[in-house]
Amino acid sequence: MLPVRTTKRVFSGAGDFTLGKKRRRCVSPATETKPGPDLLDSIPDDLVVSILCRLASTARCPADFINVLMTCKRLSGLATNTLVLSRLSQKAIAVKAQNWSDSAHRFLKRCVDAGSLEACYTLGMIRFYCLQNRGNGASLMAKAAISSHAPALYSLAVIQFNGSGGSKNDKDLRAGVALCARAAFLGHVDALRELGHCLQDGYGVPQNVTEGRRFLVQANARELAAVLSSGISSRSWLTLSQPQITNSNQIHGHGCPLLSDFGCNVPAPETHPANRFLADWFAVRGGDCPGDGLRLCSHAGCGRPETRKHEFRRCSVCGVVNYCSRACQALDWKLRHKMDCSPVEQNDVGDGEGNVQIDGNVNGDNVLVPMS
Amino acid sequence: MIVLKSSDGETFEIEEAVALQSQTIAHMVEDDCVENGIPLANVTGEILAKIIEYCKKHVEGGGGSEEELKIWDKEFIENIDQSTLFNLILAANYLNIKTLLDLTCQRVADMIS
Repeated sequence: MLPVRTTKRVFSGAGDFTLGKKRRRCVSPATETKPGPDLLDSIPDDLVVSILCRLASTARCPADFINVLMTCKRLSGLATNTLVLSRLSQKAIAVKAQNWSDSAHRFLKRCVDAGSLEACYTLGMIRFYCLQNRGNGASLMAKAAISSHAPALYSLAVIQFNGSGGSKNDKDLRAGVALCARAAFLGHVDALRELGHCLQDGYGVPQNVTEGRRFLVQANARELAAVLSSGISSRSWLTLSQPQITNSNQIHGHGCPLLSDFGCNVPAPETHPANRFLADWFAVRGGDCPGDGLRLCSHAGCGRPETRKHEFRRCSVCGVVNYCSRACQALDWKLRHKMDCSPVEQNDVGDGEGNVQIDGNVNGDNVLVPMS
Repeated sequence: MIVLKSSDGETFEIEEAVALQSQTIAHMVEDDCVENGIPLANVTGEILAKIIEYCKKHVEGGGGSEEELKIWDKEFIENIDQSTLFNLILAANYLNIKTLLDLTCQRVADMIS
């Protein structure tokens, strides 16, 4: 099935998504030759479908899969079987924001119709945040969430916490916590952190500091386990970080620093393609296109924009960065903001919506804080 | 001991435990039609030999730990040429040996990507 691209451009329907981003080729080391032309012909359709299902679930980039669609009519027809599309892996659906087009949109829609949860989530995020289609985006994410897709549950929780797409009064903290809890029980690290902080602060749930801390520790543990299991060979980054002492600049007075400080210095977790899409989308369109004065979450790996003015909350120490959720704040603090954050004289705290400030940490003396 | 006869006339004698990994053969044994050996018209001798090699390794509880088995599988599947691979797929499908079928299909999927 060596692609004979000159003659095979014309197939009904499938030709659509050969345009736009799908031209991109992955640099895959061609250590083996592709199966020869007559060999695949000898295999009956159902076996080819099962081969393509495996291909879909192990594809490392969209091109791996799309190449098949462009090879020949038979393969293209078999590859668009719902069984195959529903198994597309996260990386196979990783659309790039620069290459967004109608055909990419249609392809994602086909995957959604085939029942792919990743596609539901990705398309939901894109429609909600980038295409400003709130209702549709949320319902797509809900579709994925109902089938226990952890990132979708977490995204819906963030939307509930912030009241995205509506007014300040649309915030539903309890629903947010419930969704977060479901995502956390599926092992989603950000959701675990978020839940931990909610419990510590009594935000949307009755306050329970010990339970909250337990969740935060679990989030750290899972993050570390994920990194270790992905087999990074150089362990030079694996040092225990000492927490910086907090000083009196705490609004809520919860004396413990963000628990992420106690974790290991793990490298940043890999971002989900949907988040990368959001980040690229707004970068490509120059700053925050969403509109006047709407900011992006300052955590680079998140990419979420505000949907109304002053939706996000900011670091109480420097007031410069803002985040969509505590989990983003915790992660960004650990990765980047800890170095840049410096206290600014805050005269004017009020900014329209009377935001709750999320606490940051301040560089102080290098004294060991005993774990309480 | 069960006797298998390939399409080109070769005969292979193997233990029942090894042969029973193939669901097709297992059903035949249940239905008790194996006195004169089992003719396999769709499978050539060369392929049948490979399949028997695989099955012998994967006999219940034998062959070593999971890790070793995985390594062996990897070597097994990487050392065969394409036409053998595709014939193995067809044969594993015919003989209904799920693990071999999974292994070979995954290999083809990896080759395509």
